[in-house]
Amino acid sequence: MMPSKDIWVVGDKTIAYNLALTSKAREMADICGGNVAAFLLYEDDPQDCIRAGADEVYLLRGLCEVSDDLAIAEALAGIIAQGKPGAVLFQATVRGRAIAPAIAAILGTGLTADCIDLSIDRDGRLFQKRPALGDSILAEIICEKHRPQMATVRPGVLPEPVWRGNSPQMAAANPGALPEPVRRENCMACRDGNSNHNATGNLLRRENSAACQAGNLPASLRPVERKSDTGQVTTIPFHVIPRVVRTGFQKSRNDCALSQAQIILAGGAGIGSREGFDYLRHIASCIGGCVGASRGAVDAGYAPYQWQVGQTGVAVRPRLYIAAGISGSVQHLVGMNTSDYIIAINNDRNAPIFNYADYGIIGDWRETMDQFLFQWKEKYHEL
Amino acid sequence: MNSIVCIKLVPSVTEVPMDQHYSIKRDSVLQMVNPADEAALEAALRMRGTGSVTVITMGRPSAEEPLRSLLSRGADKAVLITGEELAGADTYATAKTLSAAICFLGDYDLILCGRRAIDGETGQVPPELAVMLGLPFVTNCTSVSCGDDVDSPAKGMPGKTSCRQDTGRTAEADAPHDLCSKGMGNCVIECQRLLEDGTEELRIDSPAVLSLCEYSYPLRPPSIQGLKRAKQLQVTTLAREQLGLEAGDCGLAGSPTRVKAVTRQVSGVRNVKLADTIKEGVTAMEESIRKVMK
Repeated sequence: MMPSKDIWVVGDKTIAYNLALTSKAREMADICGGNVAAFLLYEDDPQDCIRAGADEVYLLRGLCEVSDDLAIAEALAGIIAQGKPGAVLFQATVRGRAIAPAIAAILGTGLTADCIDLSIDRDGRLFQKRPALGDSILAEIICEKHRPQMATVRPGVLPEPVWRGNSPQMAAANPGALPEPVRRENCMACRDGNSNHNATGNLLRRENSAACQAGNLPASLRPVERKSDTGQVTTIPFHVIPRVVRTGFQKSRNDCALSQAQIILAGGAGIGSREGFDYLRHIASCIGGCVGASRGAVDAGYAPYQWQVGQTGVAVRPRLYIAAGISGSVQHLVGMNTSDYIIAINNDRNAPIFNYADYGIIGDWRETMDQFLFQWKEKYHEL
Repeated sequence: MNSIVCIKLVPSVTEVPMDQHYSIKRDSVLQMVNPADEAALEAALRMRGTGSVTVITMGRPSAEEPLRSLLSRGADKAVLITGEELAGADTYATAKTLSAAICFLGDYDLILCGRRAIDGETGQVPPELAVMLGLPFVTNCTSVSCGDDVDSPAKGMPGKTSCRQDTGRTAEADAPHDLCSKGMGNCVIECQRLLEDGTEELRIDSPAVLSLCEYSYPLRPPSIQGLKRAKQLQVTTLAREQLGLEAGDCGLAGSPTRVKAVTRQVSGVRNVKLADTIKEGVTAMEESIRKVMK
């Protein structure tokens, strides 16, 4: 069976980005004449996906609690191998950037990481654009022969979803691209008690080193019982035996996820102390933002690594980025210079950051923040 | 604990020359060990106990010197996989070559990598490598250690491989904070993984593949013993034929993806408006914040 021109979207935790990606898939599917299927690992509303452009939605149950990326990859690879879409898209979150390559390796196909733009031609060939070499170049990548074409897309770069309706007829025209249900009691590997059994049952082992057979399609699937819900929405339960288990979770000291924050107040080595960063964090929470840090500040011990923005930290794209006491090294800039609006505060008028900011305040960061907080509280009364 | 650490040599400058396939001309630029890979090596050294640490890289012959310097930092063995046909590889072809080499070398409990390289920045090789080796993996780790008396995720399941034999090495006197007190026996790995909203604590059975964040473990400086070892030891060179790879499996030929076009961009230069006074600046800042909050 030839690969189709269908585009599949695998949803991640952030619903807004799932919908934006679905909408982009719809736009591209309209050009090449394929269908869009959304696969949700988390509790999203399938109707929203349909309104964003999906023809079919599959709710994957039993996977969202799994911390084993390989197990999830195997489960998804099995479905993809059967359904043979032309392209599969993920968000470039930490987990998306781990699960997608594992799937690509299982299926023996190509994957482009962290795309900031996608386009497609009539034949369903996907053109994937991504920055590289510290953002100094923009590369356009294609996966010529292998299918599906896979890409992870940087969260927040795609435009807002375009809402559209889907007629029920469209769904009926697509007989399920999914495998026949296999009952757990009939799963041979489960019966054998094979400890290395996993979703696809046939992974490479060291003994097969000479062959290194990445790309062999899995011989059997994780047992699946498929319940068809209403029309375009189907629930697929999975049972997974994970080899990686979560034993705990420490919420980040930020009140929100840095990579998804709309307002970021970041400090550099110029902040000078941990107490300085506590102050910034307080201000950040007053203005509904997240606190970030440059590598210099993290190296000096003023801020934890989790707050680091930059080439070796987190890449951010907020609507507003305020850089306090940050000089503006290239490594920091690549992590934040696509922010919508950048304000820089620095004592040194020659600091490079001022070349990359929209607005600049030449002065002491603490004096600036004291004055800001005073004015802000006056206007808003609450902390 | 026996580890194999995957190393990549990356350009230490941002302006790099490329050939007609948009592959980096690596010979003509200054190279350095990818920062995150240094963290991977340090973690491996701390978990070594009485085992061994091997560094491997797929690279040009010029990679031999930087690899040798890693011997002086504490690695026991250095392996260079090299050959003309390996050039221009995407992540899939790279993972295929590395996994073939790792299979060839055998004898490992843990594969450690940096989470991403500063040139390609994909972070895809560790998961692809894990799949090709049939191992579970965790990416984006900020810490890793050998759990002593903890319940393994695969407890009671048959077919688990155990850690390798004691190589007879004694731990180096200058090794700080050993993360693994035993060099053999079943090892359950405990690690912390950095996610967008926090850090999760995970448990995984060895053998496994882990990728580490930059600066999670600063690489120790060369030691006297290390420098001696670097002088005495050879870097083992492997060619693709020894690994059972066809020319079509490697390099540009073995890459499902290829770069179609590259545009250089001067990213992010803006026209800044400077405030005359702090008060003016603060008022403007307040305006911007309120605009976003709406």
